[in-house]
Amino acid sequence: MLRSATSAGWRLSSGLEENYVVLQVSGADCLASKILADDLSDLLAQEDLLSQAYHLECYLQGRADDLEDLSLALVNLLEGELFSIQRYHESVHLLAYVRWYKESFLLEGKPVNLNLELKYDPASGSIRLQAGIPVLLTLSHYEKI
Amino acid sequence: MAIIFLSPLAGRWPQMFGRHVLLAVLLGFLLTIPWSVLSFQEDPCYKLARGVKLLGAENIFYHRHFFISTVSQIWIS
Repeated sequence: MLRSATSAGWRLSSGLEENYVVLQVSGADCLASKILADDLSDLLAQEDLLSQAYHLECYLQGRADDLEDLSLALVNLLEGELFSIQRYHESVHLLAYVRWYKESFLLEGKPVNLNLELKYDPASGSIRLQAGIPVLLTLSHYEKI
Repeated sequence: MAIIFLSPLAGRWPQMFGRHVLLAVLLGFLLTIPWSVLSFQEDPCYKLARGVKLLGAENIFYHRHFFISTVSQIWIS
């Protein structure tokens, strides 16, 4: 029985390849989404569970000039080690490694498992932050389905 | 019931019973609640949220993705 079906939701989407599907659990309540995700994963055979990814999105107060400082501050707060940072006009993309998450992938021989994207939104005057562990998924693919 | 009430422990058994229940509840709390709290604090989404909240984040939304093999059959009920 699912313990929390009201404050978090789930959906099943096709993967980019045919040999897997993506079960996405979403919600604004972190604990409720974890409970629902735990309940759903209990229903799955462990050998079928290939991997997991965690994704968070939120808004921060700030300007386009603040993107780099905010992203580096977040890496420090998460006790991460910076791998690379790419700066664009109104966005910053950052890769880093956090020791507290067991999985990672190698880039140029170094482990990476934290992916940040900060984008300034002139319309709202705020910054949209997306963080992914170990990868940041492009949600647009799944939103189309 | 009569035996209980007539026994020398008649006046004490509710307290003794209550004490055992209290002890059991306390032990249950110590064994289960802190474990769930600890496991939640290890949750990657929770850790990310703790970081962005320190930066003043608003309207946080969480997604958890499970990549599931379709080689064998999946049952979700």
